[in-house]
Amino acid sequence: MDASIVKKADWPEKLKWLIGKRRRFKVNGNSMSPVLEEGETVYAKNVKRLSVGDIVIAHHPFKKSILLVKQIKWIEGQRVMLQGVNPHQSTDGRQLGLIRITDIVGQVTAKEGRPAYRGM
Amino acid sequence: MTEVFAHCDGPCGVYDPASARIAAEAVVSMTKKLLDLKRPTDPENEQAILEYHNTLARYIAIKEQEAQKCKDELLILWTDYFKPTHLEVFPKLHETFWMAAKACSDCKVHVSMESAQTLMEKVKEIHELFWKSKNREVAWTLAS
Repeated sequence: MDASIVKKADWPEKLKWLIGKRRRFKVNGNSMSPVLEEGETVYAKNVKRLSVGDIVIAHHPFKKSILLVKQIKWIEGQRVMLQGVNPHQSTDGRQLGLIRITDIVGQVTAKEGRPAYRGM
Repeated sequence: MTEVFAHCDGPCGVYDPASARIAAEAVVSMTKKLLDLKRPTDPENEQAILEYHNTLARYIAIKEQEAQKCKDELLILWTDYFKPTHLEVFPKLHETFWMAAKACSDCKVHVSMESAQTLMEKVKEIHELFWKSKNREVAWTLAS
C-alpha cells in the first residue's frame, strides 16, 4: 500500500480547517499503516461522493460513539465495506460487515504530525 | 481532538465459543469415521481400494482442517476476547486455553477417540469460562 495516497496537510488544507471546512482527528491504532500511523492527525471533509479506495471516518456499526478510520473496499448500494490497509493488524479476521453510507462522517483529505514511537 | 480508531478489522465484540465447539464436534465425527472405516477385503478389487483411500484421505483432511479451525477460534477468544481483568477471576485461563490448543494438535497427530473427547472437554471448559465471564448461563448443546 502506497503511504502517499493521503497527502501531507499543506497550508490550503490548514486554512480550510481554520474556516471550518475540515475536521481533525487523531489516529489510534495501526490497521491503516503505512498510509496512516498511530498518533498522526488526519483532516477530513464532509462526504459528497464516495469511491472505492477512499479513506473515511465512520461510526462503528455497533458502538456508535466510536469513530473508525478505514478504507472503502467496495460499495453496494447504500452500504459500504470498510477495511484496514494493514493485514497484519486484522488480528481476529472478523469483518465489520457492510456499514451504512449514512454512518460515514468524513472523508480523509490529508494528514500531519509525527507518528508515535512504535518500537523496533 | 477526537480520536478515530484504526484497530483490527473486527472490533465488533461478537464472540462465541460455539464456533470452536462446532469444529471440535467435526473432529470427533471424523475421528469416529476414521476408526470405523474398513479396509476392502478383496485385494484384487482395485476400485474398492481406490475408493477406500479416497475416503480415508478425505476424512483425514477434514479432521486436520477442523482441528486447525478449532484452534484458530480458540486463539481468537483467548487473545481478543479475554482481557487481563478476566485472569484475576479465572486464574487458570491461560492453562485452559493452552491445553485446549494442545488438544487440537493432538487430534491432528493421532486418530484417537480419547484425544477427540479430550478436545471436547477442553472446549466445554472454555464455553463455561466464557459465559461465566459474561454473567450468562448458556447451556452446552451439541449439534451432533
